[in-house]
Amino acid sequence: MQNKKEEKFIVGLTAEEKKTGGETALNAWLEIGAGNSFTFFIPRAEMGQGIYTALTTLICEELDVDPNGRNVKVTHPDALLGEYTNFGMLEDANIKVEQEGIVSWMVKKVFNKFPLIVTGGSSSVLDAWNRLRLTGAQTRWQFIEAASRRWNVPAEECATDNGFVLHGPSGRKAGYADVAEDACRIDPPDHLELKTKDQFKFIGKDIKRLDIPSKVDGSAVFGIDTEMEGMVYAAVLHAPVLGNTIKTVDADEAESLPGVIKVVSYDNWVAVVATSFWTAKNALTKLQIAYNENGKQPLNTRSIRQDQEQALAKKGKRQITKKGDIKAGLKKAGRVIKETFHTPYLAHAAMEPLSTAAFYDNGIMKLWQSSQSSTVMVLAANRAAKAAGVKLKEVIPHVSMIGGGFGVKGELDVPFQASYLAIQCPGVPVKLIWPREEDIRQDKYRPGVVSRFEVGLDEAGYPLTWSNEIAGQSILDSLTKRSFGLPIKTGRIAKYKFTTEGAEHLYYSIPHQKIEAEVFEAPIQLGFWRSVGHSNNAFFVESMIDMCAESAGVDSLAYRKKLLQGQPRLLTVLTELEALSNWQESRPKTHAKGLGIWHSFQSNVGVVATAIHDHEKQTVTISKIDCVVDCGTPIHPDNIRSQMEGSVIFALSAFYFGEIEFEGGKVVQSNYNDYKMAKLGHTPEISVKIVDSDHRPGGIGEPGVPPSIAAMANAVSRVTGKRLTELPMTKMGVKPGLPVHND
Amino acid sequence: MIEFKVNGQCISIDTDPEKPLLWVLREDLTLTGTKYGCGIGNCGACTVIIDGKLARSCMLPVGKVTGKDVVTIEGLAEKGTLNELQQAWIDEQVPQCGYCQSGMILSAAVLLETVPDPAPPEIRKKVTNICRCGTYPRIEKAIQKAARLRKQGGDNAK
Repeated sequence: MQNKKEEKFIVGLTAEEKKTGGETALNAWLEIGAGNSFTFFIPRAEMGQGIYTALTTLICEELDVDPNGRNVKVTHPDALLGEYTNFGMLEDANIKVEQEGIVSWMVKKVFNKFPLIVTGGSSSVLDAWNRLRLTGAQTRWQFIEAASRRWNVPAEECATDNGFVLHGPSGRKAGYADVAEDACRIDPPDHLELKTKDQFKFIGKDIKRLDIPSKVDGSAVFGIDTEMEGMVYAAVLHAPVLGNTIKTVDADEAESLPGVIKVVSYDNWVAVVATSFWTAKNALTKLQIAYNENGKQPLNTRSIRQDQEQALAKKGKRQITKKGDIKAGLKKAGRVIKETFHTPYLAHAAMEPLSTAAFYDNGIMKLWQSSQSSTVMVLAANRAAKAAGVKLKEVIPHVSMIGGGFGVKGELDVPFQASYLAIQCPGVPVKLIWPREEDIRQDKYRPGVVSRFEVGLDEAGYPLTWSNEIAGQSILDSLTKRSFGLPIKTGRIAKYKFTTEGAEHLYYSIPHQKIEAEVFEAPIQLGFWRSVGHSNNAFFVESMIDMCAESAGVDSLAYRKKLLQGQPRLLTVLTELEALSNWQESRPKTHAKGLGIWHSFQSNVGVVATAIHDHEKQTVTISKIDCVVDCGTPIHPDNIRSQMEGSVIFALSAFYFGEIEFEGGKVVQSNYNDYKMAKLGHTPEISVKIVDSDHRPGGIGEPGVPPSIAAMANAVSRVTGKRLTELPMTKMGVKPGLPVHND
Repeated sequence: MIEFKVNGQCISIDTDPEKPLLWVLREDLTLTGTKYGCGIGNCGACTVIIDGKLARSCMLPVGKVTGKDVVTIEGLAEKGTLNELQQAWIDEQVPQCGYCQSGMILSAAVLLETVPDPAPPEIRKKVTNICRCGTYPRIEKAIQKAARLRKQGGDNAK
């Protein structure tokens, strides 16, 4: 456990924890030390989305401490505490714990016992918005109460100022640290009135990010940076044919190499443990491995396409949405337009390869990982112990800063492997790193999906009927199978959730709708990729809406405005976007603007992309992006802009280059040379406008990605005069160009 | 024994001369600011400066560094004062996850040595490292800002 210095006091604990005294030190949001220094324990992983700063700001606002003060520190707690559960994430499954009721009561009870500590689904601020401000307010109340009792003055006469309690009439002043010991013995009220927006000192202001100084001088410690005395290093290789497992390993040659300590294999992977990662990785190439075949036809990109088409052609697909009467609507429709769209499989390719360090000694497992979930780390260690036939007394998960997550760093396999290896090397710290090639080839991919539309338009060209059939592999089924051995029964809505996400609930007003989905099996592992199903469906739906507008001969922004009557927040985004992008400006034929607007993760984002077609060079360049975001009450505006910029680039990489292909059962791509990324040279000029709002804050990490892909597709379709029905853009026979910057 | 300098300090190390500099820095010298990204010299996360020139340390055998002067991100600040690039990186709030930023900052440092006041086309041509979070627009701004800071610093010193 973490060492606690004597002079530190813990505040903000529940009554029960306070009774147990000093050793509950880890179970707090806030620790206050000598010299009025504040350490905030933020149980969400900082992976670049700015969560350390955002959540600290929420507490600080009510606590009355400047989050940019020199005395403020932030870290991820090791403890698995019930109150650290991400209840906000459960809202995606329609479980709203902030509403009173029996379901909410039970959910709280369960997760307080089995904490679900996870960073994902753009849910952290949504989850923290009310409860962390309340925690801050309660803690401030405790300080005031403690000081007023000490001074024997009414609490109402006391105020606070940046970490101090003040008594105006007597001019007395006490640092929070001075009254902390008394404060933590006073129970705060359950409810306190929180500040209104006009009273905010820090929320909505451009606070400097707390993690950034450590990221410019090399001092930030990511999971892969964990170094310890006597550490050994492991590199892993998985069966390259997906679905195969390891039959036998002849390790004689590898084990004879200097520095090689051990070769360990399990299920579908084999790892070399050595005195250097470089040695371990080299030794992998000397292994003679025989595999158990998975008994299936080797998959390839074409066979997956066939599986998709077959699934799409199937009768009796799962009905997801039904509204009105398609048949009756079609009779009235003047025109019917049809199109089918395809997307490829995509890898996460975070800059920090997958890695976990583990130390097993005397029944205790300590893990260091850039993980999106300490709950998963503990689960993984216990699984590994079971597999290795040992019993663990305790698992201590240290969550480090993450060098890019995007959904992949909450998986069980990496901490499982590291724990399993550590058990084979007791008393020695082992750091497992997946070589980049494994990171790409054994990823949990964003599935490629096929989506077919049939839309009946009325006389004015607006949709009367909307039929959409979607087919792909089920992400949730893949996840529950590999993590818990539990497939999801066919027909259960959860099986289709991330396939139809965003498409199943249209914000456009269309009287007759039918949305159906089908899933199929393949030995490809799937996972959550920044914005998940929305990344597919925004491209499909927004492309189709543009086709409808083209068919109607109506400007695509005006067309959407008409269909979004009754959606005031989306309409505001559109109106702002029209102005920001100078939508109406005349432009040469080689230039075109395209639009995408999407609601996801409780936020609304609209994007206009400008594309330039160079016929001579056969290139299309996304030269400019205008983005309007309504994410509810803005907590940290500069970071919102930063996340939108990043989302645009993330989308651009997928749009220009993103494709994972399969051949002979294996993944074709392996590294950044063949799974390419957008670089500075590709970067368009990006403008971001934030809509001021009083709504509850939504997410900002993911919602910028879906409309960006859609806007780029619509811009490129317009400028080339050819509808882009498949990604990446290169499928059209045009190459990405480089924007010219003259400033 | 392989001998070279890292951030001004003399290093003498007994290791396989084929071991890439990246892993010597990270595992043997615990200088973990230099990152492993691709291992094939493509992404630039492992970028260091050797005798004033950029090098991708993941592909560079440590034996080839004998007698040379290596600068890593840990050695960029002078006597505890941040380099102009580091300061500009903070001012422009560049990093998101931060993993690629050591390599980005060092690439920019060498660029500013050769082109003190680079225009965007120059920056775009020379900085080819990958940032998966997409901090490029801010990297471009921060490099220009650092160039201004350096110029001011130089003018003040005159």
